[in-house]
Amino acid sequence: MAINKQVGFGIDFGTTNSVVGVCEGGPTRALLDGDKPNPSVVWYTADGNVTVGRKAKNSLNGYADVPGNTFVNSVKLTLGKGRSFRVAGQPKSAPEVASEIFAFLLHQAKERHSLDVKEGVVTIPVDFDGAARHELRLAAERAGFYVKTFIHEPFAAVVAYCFSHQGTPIEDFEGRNILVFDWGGGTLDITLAAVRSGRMIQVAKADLGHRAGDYFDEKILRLSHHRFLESSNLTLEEAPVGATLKDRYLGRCEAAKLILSDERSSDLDVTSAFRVNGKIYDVTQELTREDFESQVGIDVRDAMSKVDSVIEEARLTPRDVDLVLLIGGSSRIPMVRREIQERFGSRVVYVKNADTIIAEGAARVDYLGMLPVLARALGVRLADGAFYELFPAGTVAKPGVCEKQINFFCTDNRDGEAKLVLVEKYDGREMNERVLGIPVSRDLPHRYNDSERVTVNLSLDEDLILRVFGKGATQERGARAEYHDLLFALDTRGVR
Amino acid sequence: MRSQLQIASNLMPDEPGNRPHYRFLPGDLAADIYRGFAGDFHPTPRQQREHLQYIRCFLCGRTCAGTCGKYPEVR
Repeated sequence: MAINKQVGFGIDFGTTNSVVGVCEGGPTRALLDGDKPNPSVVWYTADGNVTVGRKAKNSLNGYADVPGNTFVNSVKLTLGKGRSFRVAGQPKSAPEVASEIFAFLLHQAKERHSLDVKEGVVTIPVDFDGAARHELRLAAERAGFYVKTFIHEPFAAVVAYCFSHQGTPIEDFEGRNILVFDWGGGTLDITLAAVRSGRMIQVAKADLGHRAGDYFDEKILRLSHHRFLESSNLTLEEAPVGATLKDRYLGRCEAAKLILSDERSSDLDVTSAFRVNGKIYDVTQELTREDFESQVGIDVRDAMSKVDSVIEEARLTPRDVDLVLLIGGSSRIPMVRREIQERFGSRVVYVKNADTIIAEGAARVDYLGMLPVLARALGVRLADGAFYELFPAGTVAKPGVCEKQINFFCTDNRDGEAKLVLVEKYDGREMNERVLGIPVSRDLPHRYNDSERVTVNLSLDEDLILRVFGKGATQERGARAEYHDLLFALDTRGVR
Repeated sequence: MRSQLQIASNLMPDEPGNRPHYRFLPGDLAADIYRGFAGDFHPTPRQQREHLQYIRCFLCGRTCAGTCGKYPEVR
């Protein structure tokens, strides 16, 4: 594989933190704010100033209550959902807010590290849908950054780990199964990757919706608020948690949660939290690890059952998993580590650069010019039960390559619908069935070759979304669908 | 819970090897169009099998495919 550039850039646009990774051929590095990643917090002031990153996060406590200030956290979770934020009386769309973070990262790279970051690879969660990918691309482009391709976050972590380990990555990891357990602020992504014939393949994946760090902070807030109401003899109506207090309160909950990763208990203090009948109340509590685990225990158990289902989907047992990478802030929760350790023992790796490994992996992918390829063959199940291959596994996943038009005929039009059944094939098994109903005429054929023809167009766009359009020959309107959950691999053959 | 149902495809590639099209019609539909396979229509074994499954049983009155139990046991 030809190395196509001097410097590769990768951006991990995270729910909680965002990082730029850099690869110049040797070990990768991350552009940090001091020794920490940049918080994905945007602060708009009444006079139109925009502040992003640590300064914005640190200002949350002092300025969140000041009229005219707007703080936006976790904007990533709102991408693709058509949500907007009210800033100085004007609506601001999620891509507009997200672009402020991109602009900040690019500015920081230029000012502090003298790097002109114009294009590169951006990582996304496994369940990031087509609309969200599209808006993320818009946000990046708005800030002047061209997204060459998206790659899934856990996969970027595997790339970074493989290449940084012992220097001879592919040979060392050939034939191995690697589980990435990435539980960050916004999502839990579980990916089982395998290295087969020099190709890193995502064998199976799972997620847990938005039950992650931010959700845990809200759980702590609810517990703390409940305790406060009980101890102060106030009612929920007298001391509600309003929008401005909530941000500040959540910040304290998050700080307490981080301390509980190492300590058995933590203080949770929110000064001047409530004003009831002219009296000001502070929240002053002690939160123990047991308190926290009682809140998140159900989520941890669900996460573990997702781990089991991923391994089962790949037809493996926990013993077949050679390596487990634990990344993301929520993976530091002692209960999570305990559960994972019980299943996988010494094969668990607590990644040291857990905050930056995804960005660094993306930078490596960009540096090497690696492109995602289809992890599984994609085809159509036919009326006679056969698998009709459209794109073999390993097809480069980019527009122009993954593009096809096929003419079918409908063998049974009695319900007025041709059923296009798209399936993926891996290891001799067909999986992930997707059905598109295409309108056809109900008139029965009366000659031997007179069944209605159906034309199907398939194309994969630059946001890795498979777009399908099918139309019956007698119909004026066709049917279309978008599929955003195809699995991708990285072809690493020839990469040293 | 995973569904045990599967939607059956009704598409075949319109290629020379798949002609004439009637060979891929379900047996009951083919019998419907070609009047119970009368004349010079030659159904495939699959169509014959499917046709039998949908034929109305003269004993129970349903499309029982011979499972109604009223049919005399053949020894």
